[in-house]
Amino acid sequence: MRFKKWFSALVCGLLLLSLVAGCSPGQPLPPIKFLSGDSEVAKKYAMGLQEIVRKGLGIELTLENVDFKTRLQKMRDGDFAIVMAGWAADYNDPMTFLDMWTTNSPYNDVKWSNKQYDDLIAKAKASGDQAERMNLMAQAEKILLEELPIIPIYWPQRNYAEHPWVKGIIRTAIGPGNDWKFAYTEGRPGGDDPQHLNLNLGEEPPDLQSITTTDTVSFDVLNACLEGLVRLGPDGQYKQGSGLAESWTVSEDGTKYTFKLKKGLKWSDGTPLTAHDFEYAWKKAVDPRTASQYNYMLFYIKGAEDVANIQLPDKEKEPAKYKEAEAAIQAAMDKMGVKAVDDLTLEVELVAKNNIFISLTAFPTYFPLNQKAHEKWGDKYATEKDKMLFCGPFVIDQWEHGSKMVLKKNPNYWDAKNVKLEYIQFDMIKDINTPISMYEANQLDAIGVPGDFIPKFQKERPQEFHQMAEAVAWYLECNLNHPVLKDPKFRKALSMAIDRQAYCDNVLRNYSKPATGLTPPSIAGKDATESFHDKYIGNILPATGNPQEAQKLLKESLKQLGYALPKQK
Amino acid sequence: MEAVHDNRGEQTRDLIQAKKRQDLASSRSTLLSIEDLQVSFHTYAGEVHAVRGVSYSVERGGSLAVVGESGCGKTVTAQAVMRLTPIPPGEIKGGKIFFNGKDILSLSEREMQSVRGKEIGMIFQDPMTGLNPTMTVGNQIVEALIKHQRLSRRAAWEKAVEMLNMVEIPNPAVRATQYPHQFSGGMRQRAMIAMALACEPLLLIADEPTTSLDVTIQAQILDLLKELQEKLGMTIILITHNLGVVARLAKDIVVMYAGKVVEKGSSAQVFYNAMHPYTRALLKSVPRLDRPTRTRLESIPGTPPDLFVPPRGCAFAPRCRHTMRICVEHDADPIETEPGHRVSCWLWHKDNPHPPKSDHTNGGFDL
Amino acid sequence: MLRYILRRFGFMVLSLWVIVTITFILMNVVPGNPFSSAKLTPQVLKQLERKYNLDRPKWEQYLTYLKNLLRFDLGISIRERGRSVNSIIKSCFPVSLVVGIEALCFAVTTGLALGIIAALYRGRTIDYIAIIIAIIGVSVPNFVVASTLQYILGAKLKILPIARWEGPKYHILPAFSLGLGTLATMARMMRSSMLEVVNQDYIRTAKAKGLSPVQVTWRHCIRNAILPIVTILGPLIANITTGTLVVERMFGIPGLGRYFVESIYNRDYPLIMGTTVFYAAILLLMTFLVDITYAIVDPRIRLVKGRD
Repeated sequence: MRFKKWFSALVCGLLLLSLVAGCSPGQPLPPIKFLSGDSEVAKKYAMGLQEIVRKGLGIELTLENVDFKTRLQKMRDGDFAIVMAGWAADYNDPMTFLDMWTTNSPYNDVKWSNKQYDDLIAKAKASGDQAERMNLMAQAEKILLEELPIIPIYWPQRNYAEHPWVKGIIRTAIGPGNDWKFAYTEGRPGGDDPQHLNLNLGEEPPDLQSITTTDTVSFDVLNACLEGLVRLGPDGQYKQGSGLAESWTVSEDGTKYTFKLKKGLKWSDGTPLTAHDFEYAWKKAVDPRTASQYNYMLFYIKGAEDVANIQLPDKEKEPAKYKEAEAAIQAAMDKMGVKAVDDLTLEVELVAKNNIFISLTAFPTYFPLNQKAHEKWGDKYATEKDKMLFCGPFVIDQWEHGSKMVLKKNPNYWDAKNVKLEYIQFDMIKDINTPISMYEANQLDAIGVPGDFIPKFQKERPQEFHQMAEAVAWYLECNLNHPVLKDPKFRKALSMAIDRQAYCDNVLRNYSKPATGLTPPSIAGKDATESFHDKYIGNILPATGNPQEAQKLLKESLKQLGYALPKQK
Repeated sequence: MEAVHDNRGEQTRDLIQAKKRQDLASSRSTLLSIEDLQVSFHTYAGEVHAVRGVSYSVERGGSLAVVGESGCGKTVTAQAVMRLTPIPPGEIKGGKIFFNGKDILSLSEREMQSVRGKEIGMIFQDPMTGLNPTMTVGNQIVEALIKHQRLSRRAAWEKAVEMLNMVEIPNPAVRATQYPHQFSGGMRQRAMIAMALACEPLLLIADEPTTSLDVTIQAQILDLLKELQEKLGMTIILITHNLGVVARLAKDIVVMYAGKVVEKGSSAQVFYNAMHPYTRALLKSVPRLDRPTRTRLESIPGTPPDLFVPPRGCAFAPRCRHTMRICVEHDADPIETEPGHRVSCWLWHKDNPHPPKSDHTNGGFDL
Repeated sequence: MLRYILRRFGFMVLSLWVIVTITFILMNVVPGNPFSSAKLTPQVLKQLERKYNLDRPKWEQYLTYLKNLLRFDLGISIRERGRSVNSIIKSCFPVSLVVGIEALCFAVTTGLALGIIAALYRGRTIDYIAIIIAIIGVSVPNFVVASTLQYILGAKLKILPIARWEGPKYHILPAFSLGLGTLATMARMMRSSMLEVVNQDYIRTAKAKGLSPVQVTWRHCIRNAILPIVTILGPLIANITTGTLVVERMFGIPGLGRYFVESIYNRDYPLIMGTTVFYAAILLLMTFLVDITYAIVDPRIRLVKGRD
């Protein structure tokens, strides 16, 4: 009798145990660290995303807030699970967003490797047919949006306010953001004479040497006081003769360009501006001794990359080797595909046919440099206003570091007659509140509007408040070595769970748009009339998320990986 | 009873007025005369009646000791003479003070500034804290000289050195350039004396000048004061609770208790023929070296009264061995028992049915 | 005295060396490099490191830095390409100095005066006003004060400029915002110091000498009350020096403050070292001067033991 009781108890216990074991879903989910910035705004955004993921997936992301440089370092080192990163277009073509995810791209932090994707991108790079290129790139982006090594979240807008008397400022999403060549005022209280603008740069321009500049503040200033072969108009368009080049011709195979400069071009000190200045600048830009971060913009030119690849030894420790390297650089430069045939003619040979090359020359790295002046001031070039030469609509008349900069109309500019402004005065106020007060006191003519102040401007100055689309995409980079993130199903679940619209409307609240693809809609398609995203991609990612699909994919993924489902609250 | 009270007050006042007229007539004898002074302090706990009708006077050239225990009002009275009473908590409620023909209590502050330091000098108890630590001793003397005698800096400095010499500070020229913390306790007190006497005031008030000093130094300072008094012909008021100090220096004595004067007379009179029970108890309580070692120290049982609610009658009554019923009800007026010797005690009133025998055996002090 | 000065100088140099070393170590331990941006490739990174000698071994960089430091060469900024740290400090520090000195003078004179008056008229209206100002000054952060004043006096009433640095008018708000906190501390401390002194015996002695109230207050009260204030001058100056960071930013003043902070954010190594060394040197010097001042002002303090 006793034995029977004993036995049944044992059996029941075993049954119970196996039941529990059978239901046991596996190990608990490993933490997923979300790396983001440490400013108040960044922290707010991070918490917003954390909440959205919690709601949509039931998973709690752990937040890690670090400063900008540390974040970049961690990204490069792969020391993260998820990080919110952004990329701004360098030129008006989807390739600027797509080629960084190829296996060998130095910008591929997540180390994603997809052979099909690489092939499509390579083919698109080699092709000369725009329509073909668009199709190839669309296929590539679709693969990306299926695998989701990165999860696009939103496309930001630029919010700015401009007084009604300000006219003619050209704002572009790509390249220098602001162009004041054609700006003027009409109806300024107190009178329009002399024609001028009061603006805020926001900070001291760190580097006004066009071949090494990397920041947007310097870009804007350089765009005003220098010029390239073309000058971009609104929508990033260009015409022959809009810049220093009068005209150009392209060879049959599309790899050779011949530019003819305008006659009588002058630098601000009166010396003539010639094609040699372009040749000098472009060669200097890829010179390893210059160490320019934007040298890759010139790699479309034949032989440019070879110059940049030359290793430079320590000059003091290995002087002989250094001399050899210098010789090699010179030799490579001679072989580079840019040559000033005479003062007015510049011949350029590209690696391959490239539809966007002309618009690239509007980028400051492509601006000309006067060799004599540049060599005279060497490392100090462009550190003071009288240690640089100008060839654009304006010259720098006053430069008080950290405080003020005044640009004055350049009388030697070829198109001076169409420049209406006499001067532009720039403050360098970094604080975000002070410029708002100054704008309201009419001491500033136009300002960027930070997120917190958007409601105020919407309410008080709706006529003066504007938005414009940027060519920037923000996405979550996923570390593909993470035990959970390595599964594409999980990443897809994550992507579906995020209500991008809610994130934009409730967390960012700055007119950002939910990203339904990677390449932003402001990037052109095969020509300026179409948007790559709208025409070729469409709304692949759900703007408001898809919670049911997300849950389903989550369950499948975790079951496969052997992790427990997070407790549903 | 009220009527009698008023009458007595009036009588006292009349007496004093008469004396004053007499003095004015002679116009040189009395230097300082305090008449029925009343000073109170307003605190959060109430009004403290610190001085409740004090009257005494000093002759020119005289040396008067004001004796009493802590809290009896002797310092407050002296400060009132200098008008140094801090007026927000303090208030001079009544009475008159005449000094050198001036009515002190009715002078303006400005006028008072030329009395202080110039006509009346005062030295205080603690020379360690009584001197400004950030000024040289010389400069502290000089500033009084410049203010009152309008000397040039140079002349004032020379005079300051002279003063330091007069108070027997060795090497005075060097010492004048030094700071108080570089002086010993005794020397600091000498410096204070020099400072107070720099402008040759008519009256020096010394408030417990030796209390914080070591006994051997005490004797030196007192001798110095005596010498200076003789040399300069100065009048001194010495405030102390130490009867030994009194004996060395004073010609006249005023004994105070609980804000009133209980006895006054010459030193000899008070020491050899003390009349007020309080005074006698004080004298008895002084420890003596010529008694056997194990003799019990005499003390006065009880504590001084609370001056928030001053007693109606004699303040000493609760502690006195000879208390009578009238003592509790009324305070006695001063009674002159021998010429110049007055006591405020009912024992000596002519109507007392059992007068005490005056005997001269108080265990007299050497003068 | 001379020996004391020399010894102090020795310690200062030693302290500076320790600070330089620690900063150098911390700077190199923190992740990130001066060049990292979204567009940087490893190849260009290598070129940049070569260009700025950052690919040499750390101990070599350290020794080179020390060697240059002895020649007062603080190197070249990486972010502001081509500008030497010396020239940045030379052009920016005078501005910060001016704002700092103005704020300090304002704070010290007004604060002391307020404290003295509050003590002398204790319990009256002016005392309460002084206490209220002190509490506001201490609790409200200077950027809130700055921002409020900018709005009221600058934007609404338009009697003072909101920002920029172009003339004497532009100094008023920055100096005020910067100095208010210090003013409050000064007022509070002076008030309590005065209250303590006023009850001291030597004040009674001074009055007994027949000195006028003004003479008593000046020569006796203030001279003694000010001693504890001198001891806090050191940290106070440090406070104002670092307070310039915020005020400069809000008013768009081209001072040194922003470089101090931003250089770390940008990992601009030469500028980090340069500003840190510079600030450290200033603070050490200020502390030293304050100590000397204290010895001069208070005769009871003797800097060298035993000599009297």
